[in-house]
Amino acid sequence: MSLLPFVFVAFVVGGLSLVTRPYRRWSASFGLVGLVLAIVTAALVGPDEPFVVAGGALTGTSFARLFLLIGSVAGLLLCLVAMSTTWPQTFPGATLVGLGGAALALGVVDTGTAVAAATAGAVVGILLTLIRPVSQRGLIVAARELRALVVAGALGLAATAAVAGPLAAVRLNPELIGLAYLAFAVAVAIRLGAIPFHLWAARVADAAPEVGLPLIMAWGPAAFAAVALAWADGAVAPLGQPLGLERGMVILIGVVSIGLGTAAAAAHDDLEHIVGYSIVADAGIILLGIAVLDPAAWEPTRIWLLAFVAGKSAFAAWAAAVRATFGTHRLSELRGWARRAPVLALALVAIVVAGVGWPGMAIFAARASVINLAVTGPLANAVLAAALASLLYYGRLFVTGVLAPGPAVLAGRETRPSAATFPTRFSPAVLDDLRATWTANQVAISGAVVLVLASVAVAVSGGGLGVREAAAGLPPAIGAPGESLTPANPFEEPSSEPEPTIDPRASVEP
Amino acid sequence: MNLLLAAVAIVVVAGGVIAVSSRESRPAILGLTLAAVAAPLVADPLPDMLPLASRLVAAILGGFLLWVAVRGQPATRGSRLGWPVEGLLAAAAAVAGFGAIGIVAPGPAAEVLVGAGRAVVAPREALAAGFATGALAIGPIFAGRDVLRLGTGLVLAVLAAQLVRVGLAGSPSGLEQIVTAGLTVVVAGASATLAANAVQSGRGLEPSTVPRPAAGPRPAAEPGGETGEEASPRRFGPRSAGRRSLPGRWGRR
Repeated sequence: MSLLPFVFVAFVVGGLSLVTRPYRRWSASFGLVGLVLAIVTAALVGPDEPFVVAGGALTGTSFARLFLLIGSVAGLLLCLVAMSTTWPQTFPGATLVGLGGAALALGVVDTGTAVAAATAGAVVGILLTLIRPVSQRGLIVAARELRALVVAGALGLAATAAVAGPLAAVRLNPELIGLAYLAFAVAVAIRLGAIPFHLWAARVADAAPEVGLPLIMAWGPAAFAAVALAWADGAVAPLGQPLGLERGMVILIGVVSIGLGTAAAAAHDDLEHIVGYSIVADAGIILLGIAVLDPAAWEPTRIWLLAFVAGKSAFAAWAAAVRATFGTHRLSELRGWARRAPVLALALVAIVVAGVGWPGMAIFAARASVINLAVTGPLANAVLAAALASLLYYGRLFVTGVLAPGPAVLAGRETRPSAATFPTRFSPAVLDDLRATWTANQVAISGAVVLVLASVAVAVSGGGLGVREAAAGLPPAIGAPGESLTPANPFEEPSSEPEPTIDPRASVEP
Repeated sequence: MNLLLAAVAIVVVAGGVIAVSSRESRPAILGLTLAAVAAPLVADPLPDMLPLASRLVAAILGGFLLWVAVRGQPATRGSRLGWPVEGLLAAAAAVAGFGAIGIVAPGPAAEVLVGAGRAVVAPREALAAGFATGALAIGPIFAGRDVLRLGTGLVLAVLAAQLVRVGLAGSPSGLEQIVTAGLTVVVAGASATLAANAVQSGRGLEPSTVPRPAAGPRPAAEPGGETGEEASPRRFGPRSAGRRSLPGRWGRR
């Protein structure tokens, strides 16, 4: 029941923002107010009894609360960054609807419904790729994105149908269980843009604004992956099939994504591509978590999911702020950026801490746990080293930043706050003064907002805000009603619905 | 086999064949709408009134959005293979789907389950229609530069996934029907947005960064070619030589 206000706000106000997008101010106002309301309603979400609606059930969980809370806060902060950089008119509305879809996906008991909700919420994100005036290239990219989203959703729906209910073990061929598992894992790989399914994601990184990348490439796919993880651990793992070949293929996709994604991020010159491929690389860890098929991977993978979305939101916001400050997105033209924008440099330090972690931080332990559970032997060390190699592209950004400033950086906007136009006393022109202050300090404000977002990411990666407890809780498909904070054996938790049984009339064999 | 379910399943597949084969936008959208309207009826038991109404409204709304988007663009690429081939493909897939229930869910336990206090019957007709619709969707999705055709394939893929789900796990809950209705509208709406932007760009329904003639009939006023009526594509059937000539100086002399 606690999830309903959030879902209502997200869909209604988000829809209003999208419908009124020809009227820029109305659309932005609806979106910003909606995001504030979303933060409030997300904070009210909590573990509760399932709310039965139309034969299905919705229930709040700690994980859903944290996911939606971080998503709403990140969405609002990204809006602030966008207001001072480039404002995509559909951004707040698409963010709200996307978060509404994620709320449904994380709250419904039935996995098939969750897949449909996660897909529907994400499809709205293609509006972010269509920036007016819409170019032919933008259309092609949006079409590819739509194709990837729907194909992944259809694969997920078919997979969940094939392994439906606890009787799957007695009525399904083992090969088909493996096929369904592989189909859903591939669907997650497509959504996350994992290599070799990364082409659509790479093009989106070209076409979509930086602030839109987290919604398209991180938030939506993360909700989809959370559903897949719950399904894999709750429906496939109890069937007791080894699925060696299928798991091996998923692990291969994950490892390749980590390695090649990191290499591509380190090699590219565009900030958008660096952000995009860093998302692809970190998505490899999520795939490894899905490949484990063991309750031990449940908590670390969900910790990684939360840290992933928070960290990548901050990284995308940083890229947007840098581009707006210096007017270029090419790293080769950004020599000396850190000298001119120390707040952004500090924010990048926080982003590195949030993305890479430090021994003792939740994200650091989660990454190592997932890799050690998925890969054994010396290969585990190699994969861990590849995952930590993200320091390479972060280091490249820093090295470029401390060099002598280049022409683009020297010609960039002033990053220090200006108090010249700040209203000192109340007068009828106070609104004009405030507007002038905002305009004069846009760059400084965006830098400060990025720093706040990066600090949130550090808190999440460090295990604060109740991340560990939320990640250890059970999803509604397994553990409703309520949650357990002890993930030792989540499958012993009683289900909210009566266990299906074979009809005795049908089981009578002649 | 339930004859009524089989008849509805045939309507779904027929709508899908029309949707992917037609070279005119309106019949294609009508076929898609027909398939989307009939798809939720391939279930035993039928969905409750509210979820069923949501699916029907979603189907009609999705079709309307596409219709509005391509008002100015009567031609779409259609199937290169023609409707007989698409129909045979769908028929073969339907037969495979009808028989696949024995492989996917062998034994009597697959037929009748009792869960949450209600009988769950997985109708083979739904699986057959799902396989057929899925087979029809493959071409437009993976070989479709035409955004309307892509949208048609994607909506068919959603319908196929839902039909396969009904065929394997029985009728979904009302909430799932409502969410599926939302998914159908969102996918159709996104496709309509792409199609509308493509039409507005003046390049037809096939966006391309390479300068090349768009699909569809040549304007009637084009000098040195046939009239617009002659150049307009037929509804169905394989493309014959010279039916769709290239506009302007690239056209037939």
